[in-house]
Amino acid sequence: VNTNAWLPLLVLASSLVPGLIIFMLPEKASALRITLNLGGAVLKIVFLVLMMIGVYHGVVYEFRLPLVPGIDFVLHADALALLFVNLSAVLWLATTIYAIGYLENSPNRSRFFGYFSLCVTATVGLAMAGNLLTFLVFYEALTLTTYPLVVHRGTEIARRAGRSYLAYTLFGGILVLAGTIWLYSLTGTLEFVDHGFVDGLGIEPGVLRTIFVLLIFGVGVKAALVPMHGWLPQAMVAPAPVSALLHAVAVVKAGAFGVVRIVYDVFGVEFAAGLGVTLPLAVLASVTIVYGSVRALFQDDLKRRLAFSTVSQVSYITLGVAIAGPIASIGGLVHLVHQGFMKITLFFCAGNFAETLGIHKVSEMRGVGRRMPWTTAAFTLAAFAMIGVPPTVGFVSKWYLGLGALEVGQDWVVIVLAGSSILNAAYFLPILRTAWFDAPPERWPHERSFGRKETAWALLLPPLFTAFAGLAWGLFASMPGTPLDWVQLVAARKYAP
Amino acid sequence: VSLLLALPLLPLVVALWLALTPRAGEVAAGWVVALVAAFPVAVAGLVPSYRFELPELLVQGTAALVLDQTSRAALLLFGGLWLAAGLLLARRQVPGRGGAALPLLIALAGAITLALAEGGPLVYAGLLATGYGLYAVMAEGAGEQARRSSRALIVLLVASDLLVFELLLSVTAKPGVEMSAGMLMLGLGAFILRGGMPPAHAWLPPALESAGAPAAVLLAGVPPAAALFGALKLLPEAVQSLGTICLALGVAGAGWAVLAGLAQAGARATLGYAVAATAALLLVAFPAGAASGAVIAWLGVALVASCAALPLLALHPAGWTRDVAAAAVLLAHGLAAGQAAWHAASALPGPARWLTLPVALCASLLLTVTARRTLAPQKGAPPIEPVRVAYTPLLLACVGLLMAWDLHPPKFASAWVAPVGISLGLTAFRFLTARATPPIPPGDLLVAVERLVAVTGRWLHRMCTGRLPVIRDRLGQRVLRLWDGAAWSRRLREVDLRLRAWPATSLMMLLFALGAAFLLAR
Repeated sequence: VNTNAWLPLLVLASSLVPGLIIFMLPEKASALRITLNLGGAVLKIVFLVLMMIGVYHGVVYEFRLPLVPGIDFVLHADALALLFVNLSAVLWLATTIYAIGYLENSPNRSRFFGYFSLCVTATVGLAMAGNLLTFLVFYEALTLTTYPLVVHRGTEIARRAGRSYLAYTLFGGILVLAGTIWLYSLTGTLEFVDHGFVDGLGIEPGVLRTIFVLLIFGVGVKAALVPMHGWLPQAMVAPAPVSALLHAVAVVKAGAFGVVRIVYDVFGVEFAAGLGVTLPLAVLASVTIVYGSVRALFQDDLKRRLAFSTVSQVSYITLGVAIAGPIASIGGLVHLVHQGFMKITLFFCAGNFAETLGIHKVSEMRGVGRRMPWTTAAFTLAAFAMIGVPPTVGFVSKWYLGLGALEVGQDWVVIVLAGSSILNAAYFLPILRTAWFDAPPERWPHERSFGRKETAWALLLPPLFTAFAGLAWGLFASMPGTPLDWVQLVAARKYAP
Repeated sequence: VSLLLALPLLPLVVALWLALTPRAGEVAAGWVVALVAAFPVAVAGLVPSYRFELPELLVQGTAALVLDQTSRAALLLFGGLWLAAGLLLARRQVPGRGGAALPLLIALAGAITLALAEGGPLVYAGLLATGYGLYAVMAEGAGEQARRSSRALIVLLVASDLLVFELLLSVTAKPGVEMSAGMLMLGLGAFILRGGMPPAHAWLPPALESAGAPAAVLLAGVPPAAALFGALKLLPEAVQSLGTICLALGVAGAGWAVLAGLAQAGARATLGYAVAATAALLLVAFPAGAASGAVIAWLGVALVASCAALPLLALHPAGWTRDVAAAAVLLAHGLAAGQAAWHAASALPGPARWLTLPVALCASLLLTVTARRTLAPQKGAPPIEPVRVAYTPLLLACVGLLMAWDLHPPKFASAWVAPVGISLGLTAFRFLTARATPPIPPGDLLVAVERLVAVTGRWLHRMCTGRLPVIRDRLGQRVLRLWDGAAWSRRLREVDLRLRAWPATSLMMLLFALGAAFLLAR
């Protein structure tokens, strides 16, 4: 085991070890807890930067541990894995800062932050999984570590949402397990390989299609593909940092990332297109995009509206992959990062409105822009990005998705994108209008004073940072070092002959 | 750092500064807007042509900021209009000032970007920032009418943005391939939607009626100008083949605007229709202009600035200076309209070319009626000190006309539109009876469109909150009915009992486990 093998392990350990220590800390040890959380998050980013430089120059980072004969536990950091790990690591840092402010003086913080760290560990492990079995292990670990966060408040509604979440995601896990075992029995390998490992083995196409359906439906539960999306709006009872985690950092992204891995590294995108499974997947993603947006239209509960928006937006990633062309893949993969930054900003802002003024509903947001201008400005930027307004990141994603669809002759996707943009505008613009231009009420539902500031710094800085990143990466999309630049590297490697 | 790069960034930096210092007085904010707006005017007038590449910006690596004849015209127009709006904002006695400095600056940044940008995505970004900024300026206004018209505007903007997006995608995805007539029509439709041209004009008259003076200056000038400069930069030259369609749309639009405009009672509502008629004229002239470079841009400056001058003249106290200014505005508009019609006719085949003249006449006639209604004495109107800001758009109109003449010297055929149009307008005003309530409400189509949107909205609401969950629940129940828990439990118990009764059960379970282990270990 050389240094290159240790780095993926260190990336895992940088959140696992602090998480395990935090479990044992008393509630009052908040200084130590914060130090461990932030220290781990910063350390993870440092390790990741080292790995990114290496991967860019072609270094292979792989840790391999034999489990049973023929199947290893593999952590492999390729360009695609690092895209997701980076997203998780950076947003974990932002969410940790936010959660510190959000949960100040609330009970069970050690439990919360412990599971929070474990959840990120599972996400990072899932991203760096080098084969389907390792992926499955972390996929299930993610389910089990996020469940306590969903039910953190301990109310009956939270428990019900938690039960629903468990039922959905464990069912998805069983489907992935079934697909994995079946695939292994036919191929004798589960290693993720560029262009897939099922091509050329002479396996019956019908069997492969069935396995594809099992795996996609399995990960589709977490990716909230219709009709497996039901858990996501229910899980909105969780605290705002958890919602941010579910929607932007970990769970739905893990599902979408699973789709990417299955299409690219299990089946191979050309082979999957040849099997005829990518077109139905694109149609399913399109249905999800439109359905999620339509359901979001008339939700008065702000977080619920955002949840249905996630159902819609995450499927852009699936759509980009399913279009099966290099440019569309760039659009889909870059949306993995872009959607994360946009959606986390929206949830941070929703949390700020709730924590500072007691606002939970869209109908309560009248004039909130005058009371909380910076939070509302961040919300506005993220909402514009969701609609796809240039120069925000949302425009970049939609641009590449549309171009990619036209490149491979699937012009109907452009109509789906246009319809989705109209619906996005229809459910975001009224919020912006009422927030900025309506007169504020005489009294807010439950106002907390933060002196001259509109809210606590720990609550304000994360959304401002993520919103600014969403703007800057859109404006300077073609610069080296942006997510788009990294995704172009990923696509070049995935589509290289 | 390039001067061109500083131009769109300056309003944003100033907006940020204003946001960080909320106690900055509104008067100071008005002066700040005016100062920022003076910068592009100075650049347009003094700086020689050049180009600044920005390959890192947005997507495709084709973005650049360019100062050429067309962008100079746009820069001068937008800078001048915002300068006038800023100066008005700084005057305490002008009604309807509002706290519109921030949206004004954001919209200015968008307009400057639009003026200078080259490369589809950057032009698109400029168009959007201008549109949404203008919407924010409108939405700042109080009152139900402002609310209704801003709602209609945002719907049109979103629809237009999507069409522009589709157009850009098509152009980029198939470079070198001639665009289909359908796609060209979609592109043209995008600019009709955001330019205030009939039938997408319904929001404009009520918006102008309810807007304060600074907002009215922008509303009268920016939508048609943004549509014109956006179309010049984004639509391919193949759009010249749509000359006849543009003519038909323009004739219908101008006729519609004249009929509805003459039936109005208020000056501002009539101005809305005059702007719509001017936009129709620009549409007619656009296919010819797309080929001949900056002429159409300078004519656009003259036409649009003349419209924007009228809300300012309304603030001017009665007297000979105001009358001379109004006459000059009408003359500049009429001459520019004649030149635009002549220019459009030169690119059209057969007798259809004569139809461009009625469009120009309609625009000139309606602006004359607007001017008469604007300057008509009103009982009990408060005295207002002279507003010299009114001369800014007039100056712009004159500069635009002279520049267009410099590029294409006027012919006699283009000169007679002004006297005829103005005379017809004065005659129409003389014979039209003054009404308290107009027979056609401002924004004629607005109510119908609102009803349609409301019905669609209610249907969608029912669908989303009622129908979809019901369908989902029914489907869920049907699936669950397939799963009869008690029956399955009973069946499993029976199977279990039978299996236990079977001596080979244990062996079978062992074989099953070994099979699974074998598969895993293979």
